[in-house]
Amino acid sequence: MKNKNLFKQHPIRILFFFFSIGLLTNLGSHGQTTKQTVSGYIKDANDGEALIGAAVYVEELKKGATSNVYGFYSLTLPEGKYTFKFLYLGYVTQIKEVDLTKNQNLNIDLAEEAKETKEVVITGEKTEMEANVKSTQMGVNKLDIKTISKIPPLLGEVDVIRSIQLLPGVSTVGEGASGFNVRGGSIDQNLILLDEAPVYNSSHLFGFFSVFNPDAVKDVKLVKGGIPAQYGGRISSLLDIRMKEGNNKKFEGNGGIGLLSSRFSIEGPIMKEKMSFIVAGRRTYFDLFFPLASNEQLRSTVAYFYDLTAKVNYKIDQKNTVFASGYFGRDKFGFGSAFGFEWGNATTSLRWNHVFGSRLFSNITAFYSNYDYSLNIKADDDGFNWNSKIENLSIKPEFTYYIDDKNTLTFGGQILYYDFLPGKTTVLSNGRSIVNRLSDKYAFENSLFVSNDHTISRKITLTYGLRYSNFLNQGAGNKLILGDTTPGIKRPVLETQIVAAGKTLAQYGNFEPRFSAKYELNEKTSIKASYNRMAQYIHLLSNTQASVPLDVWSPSSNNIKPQIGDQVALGYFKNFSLKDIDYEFSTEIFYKEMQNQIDYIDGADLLLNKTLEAELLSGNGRAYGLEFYLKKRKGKFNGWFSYTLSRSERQVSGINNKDWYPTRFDKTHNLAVVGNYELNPRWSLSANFVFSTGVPGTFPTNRIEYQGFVLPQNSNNLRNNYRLPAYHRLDISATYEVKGKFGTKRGITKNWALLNFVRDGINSLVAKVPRVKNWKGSWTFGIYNVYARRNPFGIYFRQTPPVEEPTAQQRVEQSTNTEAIRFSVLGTLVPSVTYNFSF
Amino acid sequence: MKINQILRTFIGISLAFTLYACEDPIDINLDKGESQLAVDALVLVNDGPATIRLTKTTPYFENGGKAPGVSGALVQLTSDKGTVYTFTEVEKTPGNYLSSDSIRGETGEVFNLSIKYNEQTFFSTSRLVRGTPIDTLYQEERAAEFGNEAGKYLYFQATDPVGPNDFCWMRYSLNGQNDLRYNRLRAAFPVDAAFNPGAADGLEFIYPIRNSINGDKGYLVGDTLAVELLSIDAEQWRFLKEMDIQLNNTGLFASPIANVRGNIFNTDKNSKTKAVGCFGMARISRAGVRIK
Repeated sequence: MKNKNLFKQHPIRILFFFFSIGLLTNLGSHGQTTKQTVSGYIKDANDGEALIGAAVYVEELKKGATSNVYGFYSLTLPEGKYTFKFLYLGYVTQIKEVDLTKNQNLNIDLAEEAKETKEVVITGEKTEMEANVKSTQMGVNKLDIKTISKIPPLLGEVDVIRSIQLLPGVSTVGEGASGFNVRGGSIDQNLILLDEAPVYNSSHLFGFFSVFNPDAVKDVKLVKGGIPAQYGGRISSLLDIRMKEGNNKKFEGNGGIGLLSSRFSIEGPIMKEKMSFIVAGRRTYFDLFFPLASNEQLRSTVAYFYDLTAKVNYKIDQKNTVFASGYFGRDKFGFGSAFGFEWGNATTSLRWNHVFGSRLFSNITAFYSNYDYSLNIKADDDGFNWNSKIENLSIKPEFTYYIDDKNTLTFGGQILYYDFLPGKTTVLSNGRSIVNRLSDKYAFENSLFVSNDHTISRKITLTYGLRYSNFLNQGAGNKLILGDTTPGIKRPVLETQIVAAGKTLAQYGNFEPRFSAKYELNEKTSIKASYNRMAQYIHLLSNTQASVPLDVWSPSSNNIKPQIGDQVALGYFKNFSLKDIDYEFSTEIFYKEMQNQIDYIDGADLLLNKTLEAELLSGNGRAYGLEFYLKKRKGKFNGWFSYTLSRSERQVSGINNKDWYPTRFDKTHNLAVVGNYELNPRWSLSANFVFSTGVPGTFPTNRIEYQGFVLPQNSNNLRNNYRLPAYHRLDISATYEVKGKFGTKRGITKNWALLNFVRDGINSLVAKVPRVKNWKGSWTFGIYNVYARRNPFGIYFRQTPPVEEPTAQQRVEQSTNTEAIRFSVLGTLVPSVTYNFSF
Repeated sequence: MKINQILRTFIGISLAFTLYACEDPIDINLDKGESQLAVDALVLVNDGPATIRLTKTTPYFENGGKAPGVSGALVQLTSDKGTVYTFTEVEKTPGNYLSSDSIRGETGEVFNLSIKYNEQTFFSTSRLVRGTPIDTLYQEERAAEFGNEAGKYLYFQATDPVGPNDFCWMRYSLNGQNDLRYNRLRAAFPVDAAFNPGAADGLEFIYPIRNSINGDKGYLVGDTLAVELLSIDAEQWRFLKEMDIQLNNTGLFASPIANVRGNIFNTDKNSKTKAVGCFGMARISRAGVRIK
């Protein structure tokens, strides 16, 4: 870990050194020839959506650039005549002859390849597109929404987070658990951004589904390591989700009708090619049938979730574009007026892209984000009401300066304001009420960053950057002065100091160096290395197996120190062909150290607790592992294979006798295979299989009798000393596209009575669907957990329940017997059918 | 956290609703741990001779019968006013130690428990708190609701005294037995009339607590219920609440199994011999009813 220590001590000096080199090479090259810039936007010819990460390649120089998240690119080259190629996977390559004598604007619209010609992609183009080999970024997995929507769904719901869990280095504590774990990090260590605004709870229905409507999502990028300097605040990963901008050429609708939910989106131009919008909504509807139920109980039940996503963008001119996007989602559950529980996220972001000249691209984002929940119990003169929330306001200016063909400098900053309401309760008992409010907590998280992409030679490229973050926890609030930790005992509160409004309660600052390097062995092979340090100032406190919507985010304070994560990774990237089939392969090895990881004393009470900080423990974390990823992107048969061998551990004074113990999401082996097969233009099949080592659990050794009850006890004080059985599952789905002349007797269904029957069924249903021009429909049939394995989510221990009609003797005898119970969230296969359409 | 429990029940219902979740018993080989002295010392004042039970912890799956009692210990209770109570073992029930008379105490009086066993001395301390009496028990006919069958339900009413935190444990027996219909610790742990210290100071016990005698089925005509409201100190309350979490632990949002922290300590800090369990002084208020 020499490398890391070096950074710990001299992060700035080392980075200064790199920046100087970058600047000097830049100055040196300026003297020789006059340079000009080609810049512009790369978009989809069909709907005007910006293409993220499209490649620009200059044939003569064998050099290139990629478009940023807004589709913008800029290349500065010596004057001359060039052949430019614009490439994007699945799109027809465009070639432009450019006579470069002055700065030029070159906007490109790329057309999607027709489905039928997919097989005959011009083979010569492939090499230039291999971003996985060419860029310095490692630990990155991109999923476009087309790929995500092919993965067999649970109950018909196409799901972003579930898809991510099929990638190397990503795991989850189990089915239905909220969030995901990246390279041994907990779920609160992922920065989830939706159009730049953070999302604090990514789950609907406690964790079964994610909050993102697939119809509104354009691009999903997961960064597990070598995280660029413009991002910070979480130590494990960045999940960057970009929403569609909306078709700026013509109106388009998309939707789906599933067993669980229906969704609909509409997008189109407001001013052709200048201004467009998208509105997408989704709602579950099984509750809509409740009023029809004969069962009175069911009739008063409320259970649904919905989300609404909307976005408008306006391209004012070639230099200015503004975007406004909003997300609003909510889960609601209840029985009539007696019980109600709801939670949800709301985010709004405003962005302004401005290009200064042709080489300085700027984006200013201002966002608001909110997560809140409320719980209500009400019966006549009695009731209980509980609210909590976290609120954010931020402004983030960011600049990209395309200095020359060797350097691209990114710099900017962020001011982020937090308001936490940890909990407010109103208790009403027999007509009298009392309000209790845990005091609000206020904080600022401010940062500055600079980063440079530096091409040293054709083989060597570096990205180096530095982020400085500062966290200020401010009054008004209470500052708890706590005594020392004794294992197993709550820390004593020595003093509670009142901190006045605007006065500092605690303050932390961190330099976060980021570095990654690429060395190309040849056109198709490269080796990459990266190091990053990340600081995290807010923490999701949760001591249940899966995070609950009630869990509260808490800021760093005098007692809760910021989490610091250091990660080094080394990777090997190769693209190759076997029997004329192209594969993309990568393997990475990582080691991560985490400081100030939060754990809890046994039996800690985290909710509505005024002295919560006294129940927290702090320790170290480490994670290491080896990841393999093999992907076949094209052809009738495509998909990927992912395997991770890893370990994730914590060491906390007061837990497990201070020895290292595995985290509850530690999985030694984690394997996923995803495959799609296009049987013919109508039928396509998908399957995925996952296998992972069972998660660890703490099991008892002894029993203690107390007041007639039997308590489990682990007399060695071990944590996570057992493993649950391995988890494995197979899901399949088949999609049938309905288009053109539908329902002829020809085709593969000729002799198959069952398929004929299905086809006739579809036929009669589709006949009822209103005919719209360009209407395209498809049916997806899926089975989740095909062989109905009872994958245990957890194993629990309890006193054996008595038999239904116990004799007096049986009651006494059985009362102190104990047993182990396996709990499976999905103990059976789950079939689904969805009808999707677009027009 | 009682709220978590409400939620858990609710989530349980919604999961059952989807018909996909399932629970089934499985066989597991567990490591065996060292056997330790377990102290069950919930000492009631002004309630006749008090019992303290000493047992040995046994392997978790050692089923069939109660834990073995620990004989031959010297059990003493001393108040800070100097009163000493010696507990003597009951011959017929090894491990049960009985005081010769009712324990008398005043609010605020501190009691020290001392147990000498196998050349080790264990101790613990508890302060006697003021009592919260049960006001009344009342029966109600309830219609079917989601999660509840129609039937006869029983509620208990009490009022929290204004001022310092009042920690309680409400427990009950059905026809003279622990109500094992649910196999769970069906009890409530009110503090200041609600679930968290200070949340509803001075109010009548809130509805979910009044309702905590009830499960999802009503009682039958003729059922006898005996309800006990114990006023306990903060440590005893914490112990019972943690015990409640461990006994009612299942589902998606289960807490990882954790040892319930006891308050019995060895006088020799360096001794490797440890004891588990809890000691607490308590006042008790009782009420009984036959379902009509």
